Amino acid sequence: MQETTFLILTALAEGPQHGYGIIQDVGRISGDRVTLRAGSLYGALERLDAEGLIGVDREEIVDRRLRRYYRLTDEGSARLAEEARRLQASAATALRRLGALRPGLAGGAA
Amino acid sequence: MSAAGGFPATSRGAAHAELERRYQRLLRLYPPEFRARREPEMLGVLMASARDGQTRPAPGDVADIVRGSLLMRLRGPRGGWAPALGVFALLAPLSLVLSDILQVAVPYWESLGAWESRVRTARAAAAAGAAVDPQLLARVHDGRTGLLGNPGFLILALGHAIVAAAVLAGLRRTALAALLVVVGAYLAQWGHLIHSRVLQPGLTMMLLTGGVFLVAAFALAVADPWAARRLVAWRPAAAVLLLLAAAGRAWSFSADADASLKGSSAQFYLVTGFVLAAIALALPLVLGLGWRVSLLFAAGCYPSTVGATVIHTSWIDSVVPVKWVLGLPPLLVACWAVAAAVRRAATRRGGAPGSAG
Repeated sequence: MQETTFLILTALAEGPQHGYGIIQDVGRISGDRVTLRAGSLYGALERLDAEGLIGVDREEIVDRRLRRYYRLTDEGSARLAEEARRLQASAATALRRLGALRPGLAGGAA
Repeated sequence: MSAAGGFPATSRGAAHAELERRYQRLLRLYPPEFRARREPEMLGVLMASARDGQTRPAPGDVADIVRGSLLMRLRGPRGGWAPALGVFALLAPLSLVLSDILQVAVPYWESLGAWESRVRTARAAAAAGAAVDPQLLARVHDGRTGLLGNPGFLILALGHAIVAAAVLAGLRRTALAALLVVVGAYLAQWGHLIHSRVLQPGLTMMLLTGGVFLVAAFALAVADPWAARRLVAWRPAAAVLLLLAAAGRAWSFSADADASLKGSSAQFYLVTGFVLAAIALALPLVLGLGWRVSLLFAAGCYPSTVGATVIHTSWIDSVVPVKWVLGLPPLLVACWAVAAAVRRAATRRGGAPGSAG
C-alpha cells in the first residue's frame, strides 16, 4: 500500500470527511511531511472507490459549493488494519534490532 | 460565519473569480466522464486551498493536475478491465457494421472511375498473353464489386448487424448467442478456405478479423456493454473513433482485394489503413477511455492491417499458414484476458469469505 493511500484511509478511520478535510488531516497525520494536492487526492479517491475501500457518505452544499463526504467501507477498514499491523510489526523489528546494538536509539519500544 | 471544514470565508472578489476560472480551465484536461462526476467538488477543494487574493493557480497544483489528468486518461473510466471490456463490447460490433458498409460502398464509389479502368488494363494485358491469370482477375473483380452477391460476406455482415443491434438494445444474452453463431460462421469459412486453398479477395481478410470477435465475445461474456453506454456517452469523438477503426479495416480489405494486381493503389490503401488504425488506437487515450480500450482495439485491428501487408510480400504462396500465425496475437490476448478474469473471480471468492453474511 502506498503511503498516500495509507494516510487517506487513516484520515477516514475516525469518521467521514470531505476532500479538503482529508487534505488537511493528511498534513496533520504526517506531521506536515506529506502535502496532498487536489489532483493526487482525487486520483486516489477514484481508485479507492473502484476498489471498494471507500464510499460516499453524504453530500452537502456549503457556501454554494458541493462537499462530498467519504467514509471507509468494511473492506477499507480491514485493509487499513492489516496494513497498520504490518507496518507496526516492521517498525517494532527495526527498533528492537537497533535497541540490541545501541540501547539509546530505540527509546521505550523494546 | 466561519467555515467549519476549513473553507476560508474570503470575500468573493474579482481575484477569486479569476482564480476559479483558471482552475476550471485547467480541469478541462480531465476526461469528460470524470469531470462530470468530480469537477464541482475538486474546484471546491482547489479554491479552499487558495490564499486570499491569489489570482493564478499554484505551480504545484498545476503540475499535480496535469499529472493526475494524464494518469486518469491512461487509466480510463474507474480503472480496471471490466469497464474497458464493456466499452469495447459496445464499440467493436458497431465498428464491424460500419466497416461492412464501407466495404460495399467503397468499391461502388471506386467503380465509377479508376478501378474499372485498371481492371480493363489488366484484362487487356491478359488478353495480350501477359502472365495474368484471368480467373484470378475475375475473382478480384468479384471481390471488389460483388460482395453483396457473396454468401460468406452476407452471413458475416448480417451476424455483425444482429450482434450490434442486440448490444445497443441491451440484450446481452441475445448478443452473446448471436456472437457465438458468428464465430461459428468464421470458423466454418476458415475451414473451407484451408480446405480449398482458394484465395477469395476481401473475404480472406475479413476472416482474419475473427480475432476481434473472439475478444468481443469474451468482453460480452464478462462485461456489460449496456453500462458502458454511459461511459462512452456518444460524444462525437466516440463516433469518429468508430468510423476510423471501421475505415482502417475496410481499407485493409480493399488492399487485400487489390493484392493480385500489385498496383500502387494497393499501397495507398495499406498506408491509409495503417494511419487510420494508428489514430483509432490513439483516440481511446484522447477520449479518456484508457489504455485497456486502446489495447483491445489493437487486438481487433491488428490482423487486418498487418495481414494485408504480409499478403503484399512474396509470402503470398504460403498465405494460409501466415494468416494463422497472424491470427494468434489477438487469440493470445483473449486467452490472457480469460485467465485474468478467472484468477480475479477466484481470488474474490476466496478472499472475502466473511462478507457473505
